[in-house]
Amino acid sequence: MTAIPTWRRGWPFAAVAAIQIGLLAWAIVDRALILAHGQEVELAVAPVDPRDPILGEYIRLNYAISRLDRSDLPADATEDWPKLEPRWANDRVEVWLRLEPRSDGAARIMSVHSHPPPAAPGTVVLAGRTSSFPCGWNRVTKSTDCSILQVTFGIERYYVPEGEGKKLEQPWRAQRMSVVAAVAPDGRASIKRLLVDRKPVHDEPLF
Amino acid sequence: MFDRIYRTRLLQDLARWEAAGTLTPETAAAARAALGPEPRTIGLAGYLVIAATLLLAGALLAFVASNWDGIPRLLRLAMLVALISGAPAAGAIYAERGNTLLTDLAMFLGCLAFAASVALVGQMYHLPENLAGGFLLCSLGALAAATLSRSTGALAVALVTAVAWSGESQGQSLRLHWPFLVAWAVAAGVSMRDDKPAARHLVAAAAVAWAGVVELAGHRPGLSDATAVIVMLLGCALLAAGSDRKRIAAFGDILAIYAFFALAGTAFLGSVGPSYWRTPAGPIPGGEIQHVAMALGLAGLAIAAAIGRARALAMTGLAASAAVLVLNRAPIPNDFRLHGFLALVAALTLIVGGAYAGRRPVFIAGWIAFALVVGNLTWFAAPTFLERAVFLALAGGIAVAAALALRRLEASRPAP
Repeated sequence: MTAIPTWRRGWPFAAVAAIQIGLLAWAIVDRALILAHGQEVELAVAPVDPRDPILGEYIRLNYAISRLDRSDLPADATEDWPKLEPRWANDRVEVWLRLEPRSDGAARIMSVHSHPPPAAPGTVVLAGRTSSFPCGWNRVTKSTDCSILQVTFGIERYYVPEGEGKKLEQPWRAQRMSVVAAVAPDGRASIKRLLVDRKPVHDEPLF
Repeated sequence: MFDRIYRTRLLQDLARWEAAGTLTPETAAAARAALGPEPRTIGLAGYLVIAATLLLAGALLAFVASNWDGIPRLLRLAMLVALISGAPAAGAIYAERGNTLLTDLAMFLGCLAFAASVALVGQMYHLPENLAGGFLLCSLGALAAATLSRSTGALAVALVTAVAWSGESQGQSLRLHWPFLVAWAVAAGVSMRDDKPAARHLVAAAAVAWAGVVELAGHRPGLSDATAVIVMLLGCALLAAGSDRKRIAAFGDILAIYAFFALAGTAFLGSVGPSYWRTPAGPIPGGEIQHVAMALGLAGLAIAAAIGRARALAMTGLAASAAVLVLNRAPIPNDFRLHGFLALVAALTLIVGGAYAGRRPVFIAGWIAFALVVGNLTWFAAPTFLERAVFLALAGGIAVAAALALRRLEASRPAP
C-alpha cells in the first residue's frame, strides 16, 4: 500500500487555519468597505471612560441622537413610533433614522422609522436598535414614558491604548466632541474620524 | 479517562478470575489481547507543555487587549493570525505522531484562540457591536475545525458559541431561531461520523441547552418553546435510536436520554402553571399551526420508531410527550388539578416506560420529575392544604390501582 505524503495528511489542518483567518479577514474587509464607500455623517457625542475586562480600555460614546424625543419631531416624522415601543422586557427593536448632514455641525434627525426608508438625496439613513430598557422615566406620573426612546447604533465603543482613556476623556469632556461615521447603504455604521471642536484628532486607517 | 478506568478494572478482574480458576490462562490472555495496546498518555513533560502553551497564549491575547500603540495594528493582527495558524500546525504534527489526545487539545486551544481573536479584531478595528454576529463567526470557525480535524474539543467550542449565538438572536425576535438547527445538524453529523461518546453527549447537551435558551430568551405566547423543542428532539432521537445503522442508533440513544431528562424538567415547570415564568407578548399568526404540526410530526416519528427496534422507548416518549404537550397548552388556565394530573402522568410514564424498556436513565428522569411535581403540588400549587391533600390522596389511589393492574398483567404473562 502506498503511504500518503505528509503534506496531504496535513491539508485538513491547513484548511482550518485558512477558514478561520478568512472569517477574520471578512470582518475586517467588511468594515473597510464601509469606511471607503459609506456616506459620511457627523454625530455629536459625550465620552465616558469605562473598561472591558477582556478587551481593554475604551471610551463610551453617548451620541446626542441616541435619545429620541417624540415631542422634538414633527408628527409625520414619527408615524412608526408605536412600532418602536418594546413588546417585552429587553426587547430591542430595530430602528432607522433619516439624518440630515449639516456642513456647520452635527447631523440632525429628520424622521424615525421601523423599517428601512427609501434613499433620498442629501440624507443619510442610520440603522440602530432601541436599548434594553429604552423608555424614559416620567417624574410627574412616576411611570415609564415611551415618548422618549434610547437607541444604540453599534458604534458606542472606541477602544484606546491602556491608560489613555482617562487622559483623553478629561479634555474631550470640556470641549465639543463629535464623530464622523461612515454609513453603508443598509444603515450599518463605522467610526471614521474623531473630532474635537470640529478639528480631526484621529483618523481611522482602512487596515 | 473512562476507558482507562474500565481497562484497569478489567485487568484486575481478569487476574482475580484467573487466580480463582474461573478463567483458564488462555482465555484470560485472549481477553487481554482483545483490549489492545495501552493507549498513549501525555506524561509529565506533556502537561508542562500544555501549561506553558496556555500561559503564552494568554500573554499574547492580553498584550493585544492592552491596545499598545507602540506596535502597528497590522503587526498585532499578524500576531493573532500566527496564533490561529499555530494551533492547527501543532495539531497536524501531533496527528502525524499518532497522538490523538494532543491533536484534539491543540485544536481546542486553537478554537479558543480564534474566538478571542474575533473579539480582539473587533477591538482593534472598532467593529460595530454585534454579539450575535461575533458568536456566529466563532461557531463557524470552530465547526470547520471540528469537521476537518475530527476534534471533540473544537466541537465543544462550536456548540457553546452556537447556543450563545442563538440566545442572542432569539431575544430580538418573536419567531423561533431555527437557523441554530443547521449548525446543530452539522455537529450531529460530525458526532455520528466520528463515533465518539463525548461528541454524542456534547451534541445532545447542546440541544437541551438550546431548548432552555429559547425558552428564557423567547417571548412567544402559548406552548412553551422549550417543550416544543424537546418534544421535537425526542421524536428525532427515537427515530434515530430505531435505526439499523449502529452509529445513528448510538447517537439517537444518547439524545433520547437527554431529551427524556429535559422532558421531566418540562413536566415539573408545566405543573407550576402556564405563563408562570414567561411573559407572553400576544398572539402571532401561525403560531398554533406550527405547534400542532410539531405534535403531529412527533407522533409520526414515534410511530415510525415503534415499528423499528426501539418500540418500548418510543411508546414511552410518545405518551409522556403527549401529556406534556397537552399540559403546556393549558386549556384550563391556572387550574392546579389539570396541570398536576398531566405532570404526574408524564412523570409516571417515564418511570414505568423506563423500567419496561430497561433504560435506567429514563427511569431516573421519571423519578426526578415525580419528586419535583409532588413537591410542587404539596407546597405551592393548590390554594389550600385541604385541596392539596385531597388531590394527592386521589393521585395516590390512582397510582395504587395502576400498580395492581400492572402486577396482574405481569403475572398473566408467561415467564421468559
